[in-house]
Amino acid sequence: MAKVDDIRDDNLRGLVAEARAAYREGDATTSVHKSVEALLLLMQKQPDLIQLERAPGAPARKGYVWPALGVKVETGENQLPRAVYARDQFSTAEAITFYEFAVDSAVAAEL
Amino acid sequence: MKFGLFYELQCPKPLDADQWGPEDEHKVFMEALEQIEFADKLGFDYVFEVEHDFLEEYAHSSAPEVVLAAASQRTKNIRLGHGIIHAPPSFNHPIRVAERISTLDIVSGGRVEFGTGEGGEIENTGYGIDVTQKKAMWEEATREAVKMMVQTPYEGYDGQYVKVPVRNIVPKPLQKPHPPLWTAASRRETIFVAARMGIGALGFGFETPEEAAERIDRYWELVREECSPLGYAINPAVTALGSLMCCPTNEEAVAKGLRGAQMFGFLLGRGQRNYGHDHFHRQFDSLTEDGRQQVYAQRQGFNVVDEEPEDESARALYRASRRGGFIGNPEFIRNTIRQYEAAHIDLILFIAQSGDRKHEDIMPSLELFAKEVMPEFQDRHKHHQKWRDQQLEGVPFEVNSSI
Repeated sequence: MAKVDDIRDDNLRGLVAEARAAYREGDATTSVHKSVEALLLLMQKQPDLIQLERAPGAPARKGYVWPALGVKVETGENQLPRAVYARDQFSTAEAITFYEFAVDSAVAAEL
Repeated sequence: MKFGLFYELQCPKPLDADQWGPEDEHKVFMEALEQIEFADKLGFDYVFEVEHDFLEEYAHSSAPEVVLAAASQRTKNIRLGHGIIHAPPSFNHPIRVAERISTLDIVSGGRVEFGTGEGGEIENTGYGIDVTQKKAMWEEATREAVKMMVQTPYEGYDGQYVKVPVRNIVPKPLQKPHPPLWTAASRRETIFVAARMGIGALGFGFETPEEAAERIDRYWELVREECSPLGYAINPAVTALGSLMCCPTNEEAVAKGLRGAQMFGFLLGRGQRNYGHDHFHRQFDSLTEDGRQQVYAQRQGFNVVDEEPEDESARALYRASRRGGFIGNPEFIRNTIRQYEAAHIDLILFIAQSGDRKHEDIMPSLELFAKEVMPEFQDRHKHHQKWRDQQLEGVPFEVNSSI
């Protein structure tokens, strides 16, 4: 089972650790931002790992699907992935979901 | 390890008609109640019932509180679980949830298991709910519903999704501080949300024993180290789900149970719908045997003979459409359950009624399972409870689990 210590990249591990600390301190919104930051960094390093969305009825491919929880990612040619936040506030459950997704994705990417 | 039944109240359309006959739904509901009553007498520990809207043929259980109330008057010991109530307030306002749970707990003599969840996309959009906010809604509404059951008076809340002034919400539940809390946890992230909030994880992902073992280790680690309870007491528990048909021989079990399991899987993933006009039973019936096995794997972009889908949702669908762990003779089922027991699963929930399985086949299956399989696991449950006590050593929260 993937854990923060399994992440080798210092920047990624640091961001995910900050996300964990934030939700444990009750700051779910900061936690979501930190996890998303980590995921954007991960997407720069491995652009094909994360599926941004699954079209209704489309085949599910191998890999990881971005949690549809109020944060969208914009991508484009010659452009770094960018997060667009639909809300100012996030819940603890959302923070944990993004955190677990970030840890899992980073470990799967072997970063 | 404990055992329970799990109901969607599946109601396939008759093959020879475009719509259900006037008695078809009535028959499914009455048969389910008869099965629950029988299961109670046989010593099954739990029945969990879903809440789903709009999912024709797959789940006609849109008002589980009514069915569970009916079951409460026909049973004595079996625990009555919501698996789950849709918590976003547009589905069920937390005041109504608290009132209904408390009332059911009273009329059942304190046998309620309180599960909540978020609902699927078809359901959320049917109620005009922004699906990207459903998890936040679930958390806020569930937390407030629990407070309403405990506080006298309820202190009120001015939140993002729930706004209620100070009121005293009555009645209060018989179980104190409140019935055990559960949440639907098909995906691994949700299992760990549950652990961190001290909630039981209703695992609906058709996990293998190996996957279950890995998740359970992590679940209990989080309960011990990172739990911040959503309720006033924690319910640390993890379930597994599978299709049950127990017969004297494997051949008979497959003949009576496999098609229902496959149909469950077929119905589970129906995304695109032509509401009121689809006939999924006919679509399923037109498939060849191989086709029934493969339909989900292919729909998800995988070939069944090559490998299981890595994507978690796709894999759950794939497994649901296959034989599953609990279709066989008592020895086959016993051996499978022993693997889950070794993984420290607390409760296995069985889908007995599924697809076009016959009530006349389900009843003897329940009886054979209860007589030939259940006793050895009931005898060993004290060892599992001891293991749970060890896991909970040093955990500073009140525990109100019924496991």
